[in-house]
Amino acid sequence: MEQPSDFDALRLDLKGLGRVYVATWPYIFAQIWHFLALLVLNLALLGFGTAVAFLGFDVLLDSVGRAEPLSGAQASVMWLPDADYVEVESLGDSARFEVLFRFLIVSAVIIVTTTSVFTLLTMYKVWILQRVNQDLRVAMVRNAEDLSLRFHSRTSAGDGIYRVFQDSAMVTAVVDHVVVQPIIAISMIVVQLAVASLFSPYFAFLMLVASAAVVAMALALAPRLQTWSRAARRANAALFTRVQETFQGIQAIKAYGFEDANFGRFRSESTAALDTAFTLRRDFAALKVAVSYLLALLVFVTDYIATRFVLAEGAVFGASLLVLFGMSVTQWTVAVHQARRSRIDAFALHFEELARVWCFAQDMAVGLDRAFWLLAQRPEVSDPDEPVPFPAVLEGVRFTSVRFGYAPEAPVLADFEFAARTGEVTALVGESGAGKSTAMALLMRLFDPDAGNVAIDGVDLRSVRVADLRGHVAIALQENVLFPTSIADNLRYATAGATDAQVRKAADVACATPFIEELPDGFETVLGVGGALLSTGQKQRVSIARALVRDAPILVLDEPTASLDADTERRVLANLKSWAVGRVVIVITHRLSTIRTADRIAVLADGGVVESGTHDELVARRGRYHDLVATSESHD
Amino acid sequence: MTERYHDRLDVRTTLATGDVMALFRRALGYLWPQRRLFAARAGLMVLIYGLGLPLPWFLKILIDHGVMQQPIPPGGEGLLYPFFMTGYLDSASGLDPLAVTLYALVVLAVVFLFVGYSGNTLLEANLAEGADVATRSENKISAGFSAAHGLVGLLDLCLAIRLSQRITHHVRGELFSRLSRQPLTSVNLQRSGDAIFRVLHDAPSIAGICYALTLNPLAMIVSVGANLWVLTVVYGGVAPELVWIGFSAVGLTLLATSPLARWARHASQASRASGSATTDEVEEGLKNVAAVQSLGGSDRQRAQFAVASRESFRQSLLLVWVVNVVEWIAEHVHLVFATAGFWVIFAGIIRGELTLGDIPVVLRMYSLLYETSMQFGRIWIDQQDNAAAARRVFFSMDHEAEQSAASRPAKIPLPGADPLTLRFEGVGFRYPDGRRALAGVSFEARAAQTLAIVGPSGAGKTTLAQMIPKFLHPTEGRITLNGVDLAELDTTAVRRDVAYVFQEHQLLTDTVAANLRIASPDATAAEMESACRVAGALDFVRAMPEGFESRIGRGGGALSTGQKQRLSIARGLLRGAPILILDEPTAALDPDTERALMDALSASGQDRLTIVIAHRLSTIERADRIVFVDQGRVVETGNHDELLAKPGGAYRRFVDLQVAGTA
Ligand SMILES: Nc1ncnc2c1ncn2[C@@H]1O[C@H](COP(=O)(O)OP(=O)(O)OP(=O)(O)O)[C@@H](O)[C@H]1O
Ligand SMILES: Nc1ncnc2c1ncn2[C@@H]1O[C@H](COP(=O)(O)OP(=O)(O)OP(=O)(O)O)[C@@H](O)[C@H]1O
Ligand SMILES: [Mg+2]
Ligand SMILES: [Mg+2]
Repeated sequence: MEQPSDFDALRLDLKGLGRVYVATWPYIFAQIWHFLALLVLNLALLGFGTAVAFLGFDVLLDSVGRAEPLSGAQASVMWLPDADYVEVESLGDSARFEVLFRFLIVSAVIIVTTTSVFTLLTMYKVWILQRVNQDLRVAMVRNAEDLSLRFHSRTSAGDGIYRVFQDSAMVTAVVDHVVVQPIIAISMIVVQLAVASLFSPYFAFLMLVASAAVVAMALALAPRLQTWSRAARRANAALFTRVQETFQGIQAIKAYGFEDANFGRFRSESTAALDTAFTLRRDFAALKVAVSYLLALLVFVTDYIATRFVLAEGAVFGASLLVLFGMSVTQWTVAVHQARRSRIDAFALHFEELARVWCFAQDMAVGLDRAFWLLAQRPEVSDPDEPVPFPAVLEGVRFTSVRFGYAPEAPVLADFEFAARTGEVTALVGESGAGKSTAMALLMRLFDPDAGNVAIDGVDLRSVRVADLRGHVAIALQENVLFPTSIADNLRYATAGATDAQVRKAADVACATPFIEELPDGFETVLGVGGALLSTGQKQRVSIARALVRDAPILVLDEPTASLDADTERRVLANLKSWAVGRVVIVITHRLSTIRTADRIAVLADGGVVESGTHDELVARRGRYHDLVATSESHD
Repeated sequence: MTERYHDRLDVRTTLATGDVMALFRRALGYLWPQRRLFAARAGLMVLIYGLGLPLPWFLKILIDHGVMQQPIPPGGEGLLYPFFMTGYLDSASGLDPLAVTLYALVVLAVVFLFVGYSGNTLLEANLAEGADVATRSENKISAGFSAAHGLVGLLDLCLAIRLSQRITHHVRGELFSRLSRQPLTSVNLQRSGDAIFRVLHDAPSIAGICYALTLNPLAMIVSVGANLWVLTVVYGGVAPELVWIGFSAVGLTLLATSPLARWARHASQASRASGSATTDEVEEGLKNVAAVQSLGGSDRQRAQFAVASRESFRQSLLLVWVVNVVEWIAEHVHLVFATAGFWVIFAGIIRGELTLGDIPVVLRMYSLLYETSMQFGRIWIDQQDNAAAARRVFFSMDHEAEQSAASRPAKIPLPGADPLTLRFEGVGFRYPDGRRALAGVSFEARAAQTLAIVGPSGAGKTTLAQMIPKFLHPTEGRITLNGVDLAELDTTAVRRDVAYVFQEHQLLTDTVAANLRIASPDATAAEMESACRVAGALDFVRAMPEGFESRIGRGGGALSTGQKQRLSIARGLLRGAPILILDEPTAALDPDTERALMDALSASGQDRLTIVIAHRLSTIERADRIVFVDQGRVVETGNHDELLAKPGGAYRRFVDLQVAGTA
């Protein structure tokens, strides 16, 4: 139940892989011009590098090394006169030194420029990729927070966080490793293949054979890599969750001396995570070793063939075309031998790179799959297509025949009829677990009812915008959620623009001002995790004040007085009563003293409201409410 | 910077070189337990470099004696080869060029099967790194590379990964257990995001340090030493400039990279801290998703996350810049030496002292020298990153742990012959922020009693109760159990005998049974049922789809508040401890449920000392003894009737208020 089952069912074949990658497209598309620019610049740089390398082999090995004359083009690049360097039988020693000297200067200049440009390109790439990643992870967080609570109570927080970080990082990597790098690598491979075939078609044939073998190996290993990668991610998410829960539930863990047992679990989860990571990497490495050995064999075989060509003084197959790359020879010489080797080496290198990327791709597909799984979750509540303006709340809130269950087969509320009128305080009472908080969640549209409707002034909640609705309803939750920021920030949490005076006014109503002022920094005191630094009753008052700051026409207080002593409770309620004039106030409570302040009381039992009316009416009916009062009073 | 990244306890974030050294020494301590694996790797490394040494010379053979058809004299007499090639040259002498080529290629193919193209590219198995810390630390946890490919390289890599993993496992385990043993006062101050970051992302850096300071320099010395030595032996006579260039290349590469280390360190530290701040943002949003949604805070939360995330990227971009610039500089140092090398080699060729085959040999040795010293320089820079992480790890490890020293018998003498007595003697307490929560608290409680602690909100009731299981320690006075000062008793033992049910329940995202078993790992189904029955939780647990095996959602999210409370109480009861503390056990319960719970509680465990904190009269009035606390002081003690009899007493006023409220 914790891990979504549809996620497990997903098996990635090539098509699935493609589908996953296609999903990244919108994020890439946002930066498409940058990507194109990057690609073109990179290819230009690499192409330029190949030409320079050929020039180098020819000049250095044949001219400097074996005293053969330069070609016209070569001479003009180095600003050397044709008469002494081109139109001669062979070069003299001083001419050879001159050529060497000039060549080294020319190539140093070229190398300094290209490496600098390359460094800038790398930075450019990182910058583009970060923008993609930023977009994606913001989208993921947004989606995660919008998803209905039903989703959140199913998956653990740790898993969500892990996804955002680990898996969204994949997108950047995907774009880099699966789009940018392979495009560059494949174009380079094609270029090398073409150039090598100019030396001899045999080479091209052998290179194709080697490619086919490498591809076959990579394909065969892919499912294995994916399985392990998935296992590794899952193991890591479990570990993350463990760490996270430990620090959140640290008090309970300490109270029950559970540290050791918990540590034992941590250790075994840690071991499991490490073992899967190890297996995954071992397989990665094995594939790489195999690929690189295969390519080394390719180099050796072509070495042998090329040596035969040189010994036989054979003609270079595509010499006329090689001139385009700066090679000006027609016969096999040592320079051609080495130039050919450099191409096949480059081919092997790019192919190894491709194998590496392939390994990444397997891992990343799994990561992306998880990331997009989160993105693909649709919020259960959504805005209407044509929202109506929020009503003025002149009449009040009404629940009509509402049915709702967290699991459809076990409804919590069934045929629930409830009304709260403007200008009145309505108490909702009922046993623990009866569904009171659930009803309020429906009012906030954290969920939508399975049947029936909730309406304000007769306007169905589903026809107004969710943000509008939540902006008009202020709630003090049953469990006081405070954030580790200053008290003033906590009070303003629901109302960003509230002034100091508003904040203070709300704190006064909630009887929170006296203790806040006693704190070292007053309203600016920074709270700890979950509001630590305050007693529970103090937190409760801050949480009530936070709802009040909102100044909304509908106020919901879920057990506002559970942690307050009688004296404080009385004062808070008295303040609230005068504050509430002209609003809809719904109070959920178990305390008789709080119920007594309500104008109207609704008793919730068995999923529906069984009685409602004023205190006196209900007592007179001698029904459930009467029993409840009797239980409470029998103690006193 | 500290303010910016909410690192509240750990405020010192800059490192001096001296601190770095101290951190390194401490990190190296983690290597010792892995010494066998370490020795195996060191051995393999020497083997790899040994096998790699002859490889460049085969390139020379292929060119000079294959392509250039120069015959090989017996033993390579008169040719420039190192001594270890003599045997091979002997066996190849007299062969025609094509046979020489074939012979060399076959030997290479066999050697490659074992060591691959050693030194060309490193064999590693990292995952694709995104811009995020998570993937990076994933790669650090299983970090490892081998200088060789081939079968030996694969083996070497596997050992390397295992070594890193074991170190990380050790460090993060230790850190985790230390962090979960911090006293509550400091745990509260920290954000859990920070703790998570330390355990998962900072801990792996220690392994990196261990490598960087041992195997990597060793590898560098072996490889650089061997190459320089061969260079000297072979070319020292003919072209000594080649040797000088080699030596100065190593020195200059190191010199060029290390001064930049400090710069890199600062960039790295900022990047790390902002990474942890981003984790915080996400965590807060997801953990409290109900609150965020119903308070309309989604937009705000989103905006905050976007800002934190952008900042973390900005910081990591800065780091990438620094690293790239450093690399750029080092590459140019290499360029200078490579150019000089070219000049010397070709000059030698023109003069006829060197052959074309020397080019690949020298270039390859140069690039090995450069790569190795460059790696060494980079490794030093990476260590700055690691040092920053190590500091955070060690800081948490050293942060005061809860005292657990048992100078006294572990077990509290149980009631029976010697009835259990808990006594507060003039206890006072101040929170670390200086605020006084309690002063001069004295009272006594015995086994088989129910003690109620009553008082206004914020009076100090929770603070007082949390001292009993030693979550907090009195700053004045003392608390005794059967006459023994709690401070002298072992913390674990005390907690075994004191079950505490928190005012704000803490449930784990797990099943009902798993949550119950926290209190008593070996509890049987019957025991769990009876605890749940007493706590009034049995009915709703049974009604859940899978009973005790049902999952209760994130932090208990699938239960109503009152249900969570009852489950927490059941957990406390299951502990079967002689002292049970319930902090507001009935706050979220309706009167019926509350009454049933209180009846069941007093019926179960006759010998137990039960301490209840409550606001509700119905819960308080049955207590044998009531302690009324106000503003951190005990104002009155006695039983319900005694206290009611005091006209104008605080308790009486308290009761009057409640009765007035309900009547
Ligand atoms: N997220 C959820 N998933 C599944 N079941 C849930 C979820 N939240 C609540 N429930 C169940 O719905 C029922 C009603 O819960 P609700 O929180 O509305 O009760 P309540 O009346 O507010 O009780 P209390 O007074 O204890 O707060 C309970 O049985 C509870 O177990
Ligand atoms: N971690 C902390 N650091 C500093 N002060 C604290 C901390 N926790 C509580 N306090 C302060 O100590 C005082 C006593 O708090 P305590 O939690 O003991 O009150 P309480 O009697 O349990 O109140 P309640 O009934 O509201 O739970 C309060 O003023 C509170 O603000
Ligand atoms: Mg509720
Ligand atoms: Mg308290």
